[in-house]
Amino acid sequence: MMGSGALKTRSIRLFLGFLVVLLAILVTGAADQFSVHAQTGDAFAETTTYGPAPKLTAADYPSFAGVNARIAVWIFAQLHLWFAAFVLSVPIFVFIIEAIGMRTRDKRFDDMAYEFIKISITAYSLTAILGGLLLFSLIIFYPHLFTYLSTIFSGSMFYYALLFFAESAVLYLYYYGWHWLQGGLRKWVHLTLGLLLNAVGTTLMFLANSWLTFMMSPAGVNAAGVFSGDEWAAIHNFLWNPINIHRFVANIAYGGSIVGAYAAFKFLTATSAREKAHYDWMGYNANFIAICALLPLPFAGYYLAAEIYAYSQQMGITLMGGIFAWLFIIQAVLIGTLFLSANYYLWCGMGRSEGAKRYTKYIKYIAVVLVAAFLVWFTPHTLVLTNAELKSLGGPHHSILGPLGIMPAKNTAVNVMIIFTFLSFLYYRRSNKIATVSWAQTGNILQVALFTAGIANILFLGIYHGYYTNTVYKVAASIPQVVTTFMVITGSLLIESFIYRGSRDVGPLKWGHIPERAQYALFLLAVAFTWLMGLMGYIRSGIRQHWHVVDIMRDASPDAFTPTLGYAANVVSIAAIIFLAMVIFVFWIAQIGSTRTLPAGYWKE
Amino acid sequence: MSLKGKLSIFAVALAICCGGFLLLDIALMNMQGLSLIFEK
Amino acid sequence: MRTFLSVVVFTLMTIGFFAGYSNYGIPQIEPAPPQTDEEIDLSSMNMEQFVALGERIFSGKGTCTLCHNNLGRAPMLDAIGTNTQARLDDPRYAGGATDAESYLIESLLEPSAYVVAGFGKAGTSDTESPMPSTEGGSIALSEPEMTAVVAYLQDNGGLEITVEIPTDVGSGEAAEATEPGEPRPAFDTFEDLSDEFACEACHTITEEAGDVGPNLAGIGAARDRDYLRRALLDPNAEIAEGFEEGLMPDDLGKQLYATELEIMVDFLSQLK
Repeated sequence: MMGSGALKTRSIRLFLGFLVVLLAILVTGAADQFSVHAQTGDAFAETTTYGPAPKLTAADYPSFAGVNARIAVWIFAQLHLWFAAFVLSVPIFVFIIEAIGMRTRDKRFDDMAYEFIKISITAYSLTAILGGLLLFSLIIFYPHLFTYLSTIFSGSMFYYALLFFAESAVLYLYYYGWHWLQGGLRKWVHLTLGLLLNAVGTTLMFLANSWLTFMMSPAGVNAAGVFSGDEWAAIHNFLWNPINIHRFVANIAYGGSIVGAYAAFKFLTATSAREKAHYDWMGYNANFIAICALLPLPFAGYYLAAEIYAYSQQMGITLMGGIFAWLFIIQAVLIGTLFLSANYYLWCGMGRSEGAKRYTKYIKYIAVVLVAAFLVWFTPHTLVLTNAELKSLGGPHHSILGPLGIMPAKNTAVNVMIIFTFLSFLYYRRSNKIATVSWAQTGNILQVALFTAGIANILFLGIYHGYYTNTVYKVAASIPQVVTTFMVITGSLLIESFIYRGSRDVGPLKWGHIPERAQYALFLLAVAFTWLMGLMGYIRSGIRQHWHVVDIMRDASPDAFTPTLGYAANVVSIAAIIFLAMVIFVFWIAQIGSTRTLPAGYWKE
Repeated sequence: MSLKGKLSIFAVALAICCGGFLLLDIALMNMQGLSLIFEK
Repeated sequence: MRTFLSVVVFTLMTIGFFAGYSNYGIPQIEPAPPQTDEEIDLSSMNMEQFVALGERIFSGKGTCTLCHNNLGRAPMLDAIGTNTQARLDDPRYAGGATDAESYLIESLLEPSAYVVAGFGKAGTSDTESPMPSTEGGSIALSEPEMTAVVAYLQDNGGLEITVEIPTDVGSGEAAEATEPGEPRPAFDTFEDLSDEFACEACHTITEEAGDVGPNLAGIGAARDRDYLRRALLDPNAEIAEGFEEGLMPDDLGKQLYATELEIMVDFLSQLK
């Protein structure tokens, strides 16, 4: 305990003042630095001439025996990305859970938030290690590319490195000070540290994102690759914000799935009913986080693809209509897996409440719709046919099923999957509640009407525009589809909140009362997510094909070829296995940290 | 509530929602410089 | 420990499923390797060869077929014979071209000079074209290459070819066109050739297949080798009764290696 009451308050005020000053310095200092840099950049450009992007030959790429440079960089980059996604997302939902705990004064939330940060703490250093490995391998194997990029991004790379001081400082204070900064004002300080951790982490991600999006959609350089001196222009290139949004949302979903896998494992190996209940609850929350972020994710991805198209129609068409098109069929299989697992887990979880029996009869219909939507999503547009098949089909596409392979059908399928997943979630929430308002039945009718109208609208937009209009209309129709989904979700949440105002619980939720196979749904979620991220990472990099920086700096390395999808899938699989092994290590370390062995007779009396 | 009562509430609510969504569709397509119904 | 092992097995099986599906469940398309430039001597070319060069660029380095196909992203170019004048006469036309040739060149260099109705970028009311300029970036066609493409487009679109084969190629470098890597390996069986050149899309040969062209099941008994050879090299010289002319590709001779032509003639002549 610190000294007297007066001293304690003074110390807290001092500490707070220090924090505010530190924040002020960071914010204004950083902004200052950027503007100074921009000014210096202009002056710099006058005195320092930047050269064009180098034209490389195969001899410019160092190699040493036994190491395939391209695969090494690929795997290091992907491992780094997986860990980075994990450590960026955990603070997001830990912050939210801590805030909920503070609001409800329910200590279980605080404990769960602490547990999430505890199991991920080793992951931070692994992220940094892998980042270092990636950096070294880029310098060793792609020195000219790295020199070119670091000349342009000298400022952001330098501050990126410095920012890790802030990240570490805040993280350690946040984690190690968790039980110290409890109660009253201290808890607010602690929450602020959580917010800072997120701010720093997000900034780090945004900076790194700009380097890789520059490689796809360069800005601030002319056609020969000569840098204009304006680093900010290079940073906020065309694809920067689409990637920022997509990664931010995807990270949350991903982090939720990884901690869900942790909870699932602990559930299966729990020895007491209390432990089982605790990890069941944790798994539910993790799945909830993953679903919340999974619902808007397809749109973040769609927006990214739309922006790629807007930037370069060639790149866009190669992505979705050319050699990478089949890759998106694999993606469809994976996303279908994600949605089905998440739903399956929710359905299994309904057994925690007696009141669920009212709704279990609807589950099979949701399952049928989800599978049907998945099949549509997974239908390709162009098939590889023999001549006889071509003749009997009358062309390379089937007249009715062919349009299922293009975007209006895909968008219809995903919007339907999202709405029905949300419906599963509604049933889950309702299962333990009994509405007490007099107009509950009318409310239900309103809900049914809203869902029916929304789904009908989505189907209309998809079928009419998919079969009867041209490409411009087909793409444009996706906007009203997604807004419809959003309206259905927000509208029905609003109606639900009114219907269940003052509702009664059927009974206490029986945490722990869930079949073991449901935990495998959580494992499936984590593994499928990981593999999907690996696949998408390959696409993002592969779409550049034989360019280091698209249209500006050619990749002349011996490994510049774009591999077949099978090859890419194999590399992703190997990397995924390595990653998951490392994650197991991270979780194991977290456990042994609190394990005590009492060796009898070892220590002197 | 009788079945007729429920159906009439449903019909009214459905009509309102469908109308709302249709307006939404038209607005969003117009914002992109297109009409809802395809015209060459 | 048992749980740990079952989780590990489950994970490996899941990853194995995804990898297996990606390797065996979908077609393994081998993307074309990065293109290398090839030197071409224009002085020895005739117009027919120049047009063929233009077609190679159109389908290859120019990446034109990525959008100019029947999926509706870009106007179809086989109708430019009828369309070009209409484009030039359109009150919306504000470019500087006066005839088909200059219009085509302008479309290659400044695609947004005139955007065909309905094909502009969304929200720009057909003032901005999504087509990239073929001069820069990753397409980077040289002037002789563009001329070749125009020659091909004029020929293919039913217009008179008005361009001339460039003799002076500016800085003295030889004109370049690109071809993917090495020449294709020769096929050595009739089956492979038939698959590659899609004979059975139109002909019945060994089994019931196409009926757009004559049934070849007994062609060896009906015709001699010279006839078969000529039918492959110059199909429109003699059309079988009841069939239309102009359907069979007339450039097989330019695409087949000599050995492959003989394999086809040998095979067909023993179909009795």
